[in-house]
Amino acid sequence: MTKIISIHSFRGGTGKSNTTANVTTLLAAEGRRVGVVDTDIQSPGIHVLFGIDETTMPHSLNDYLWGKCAIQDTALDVTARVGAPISGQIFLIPSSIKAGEIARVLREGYDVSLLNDGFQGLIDTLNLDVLMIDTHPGLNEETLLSIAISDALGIIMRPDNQDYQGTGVTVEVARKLDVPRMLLIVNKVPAVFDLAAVKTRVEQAYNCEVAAVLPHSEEMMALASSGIFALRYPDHPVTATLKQLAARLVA
Amino acid sequence: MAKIISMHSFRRGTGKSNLVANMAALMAAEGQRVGAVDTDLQSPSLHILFGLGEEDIGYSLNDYLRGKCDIEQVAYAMTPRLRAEIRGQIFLVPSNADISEIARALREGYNVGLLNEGLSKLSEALNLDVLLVDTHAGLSEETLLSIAVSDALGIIMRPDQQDYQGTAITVAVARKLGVPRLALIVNQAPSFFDLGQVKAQVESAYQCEVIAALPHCDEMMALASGDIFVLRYPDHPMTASLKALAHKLMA
Repeated sequence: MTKIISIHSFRGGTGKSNTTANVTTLLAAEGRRVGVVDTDIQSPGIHVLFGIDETTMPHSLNDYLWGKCAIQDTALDVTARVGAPISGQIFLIPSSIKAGEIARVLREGYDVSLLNDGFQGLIDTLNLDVLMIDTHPGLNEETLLSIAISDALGIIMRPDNQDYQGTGVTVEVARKLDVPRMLLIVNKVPAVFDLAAVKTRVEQAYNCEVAAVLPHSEEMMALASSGIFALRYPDHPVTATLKQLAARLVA
Repeated sequence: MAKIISMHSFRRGTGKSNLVANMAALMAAEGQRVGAVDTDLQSPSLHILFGLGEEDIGYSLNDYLRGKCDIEQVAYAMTPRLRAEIRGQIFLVPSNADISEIARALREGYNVGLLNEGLSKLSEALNLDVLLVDTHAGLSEETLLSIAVSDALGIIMRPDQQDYQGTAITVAVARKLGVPRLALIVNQAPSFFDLGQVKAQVESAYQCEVIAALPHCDEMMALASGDIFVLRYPDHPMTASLKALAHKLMA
């Protein structure tokens, strides 16, 4: 049975795409067939982590949503692009980075139910073990759909005052939508913070399991979304935490 | 007529709101009468930096844009609340952080003409020297229209692959809109980056002036948008860099 895992955050800039790309790769490295969809159509970014640009993106999720192609035509096999041998497979379904197409979506919107059909189509045609959904930040129709159909939901937050209230609302909404497994991920934690204390405080504040507390990392920052951190730094403590997170999400 | 300075970025999490709040504090400290307007209706955050809770805010920008009140009723004097001695004045125009208001703003958008009218009226009524406008990240019709009336536009980016292409698009669009003064601000650069080199590289790549290349700052991160950095750390090297940036913006 395919697992659908959404990675969401209330605010932007929390590290969603990097976390999603790393978890995707770690799951694939254990032999799984993993699909990853960039549903952040207004601000696509995860393709960058897999070394994809305009010239290597023949179709995008936008093309499918506008009825120009079938969903499986948008899937790119990026397994060879991650820079290290992977026993499984990674299929990326990117969103368009053409300014005109982003503007069109902003103006016209799209049929959210098509997205759901698309997810199912991907699972069937690509025979996926896991479908990862990199969502748009904030609560809106598309993100609510992704949350509602997920087997597991990772909510990423930074330990920043701008994140606290909105994350609380997101947790409540996800509870109401009956997500089977909901996990908090606290990311970009300042070096001076005690990670264990952060975990406890956040768990108590939101009454929700914290699956990972990721410290701010200069190496991650310097990598600057140009590659997959977990492959570049396989022995780094952050990679160990990402592995644990991946395990909790598929459990 | 006040000088309108908009702060924008293609991607989220670049540090826009923190910069706006700190610029406001620095300019006011030099005797300027400063307005700080949060036009990020989808993810309001300026009020958080100034320590304003829901109970402190009556009318918000949302109410003005729906014709429920005058713009003057949405301006809150911040200077008495700040612990520091400030010769000038800061007036905050906050957006409503209530989740249903955010959802409503997402659905309905807002009347940019009315916003621009409001900014004019506000600067006259309060005799402002500078109006700092905090915008929502990404290209949207509303943001572009409000940028078009700016005297100066600061585009903030992180030196991250996910920022590069989108920022190039933003610079191109801003140029087409004929913004009198356009400048890039590179923020959150890894500490071991040569900032002089970063500035030169970005200027060359975008053919656009870089008025500041700011390093990642652990103390700023740990402050977690809970206070205004330049008031908490007046002697920090970062504060000196931010002062230099404020002078460049006021020039």
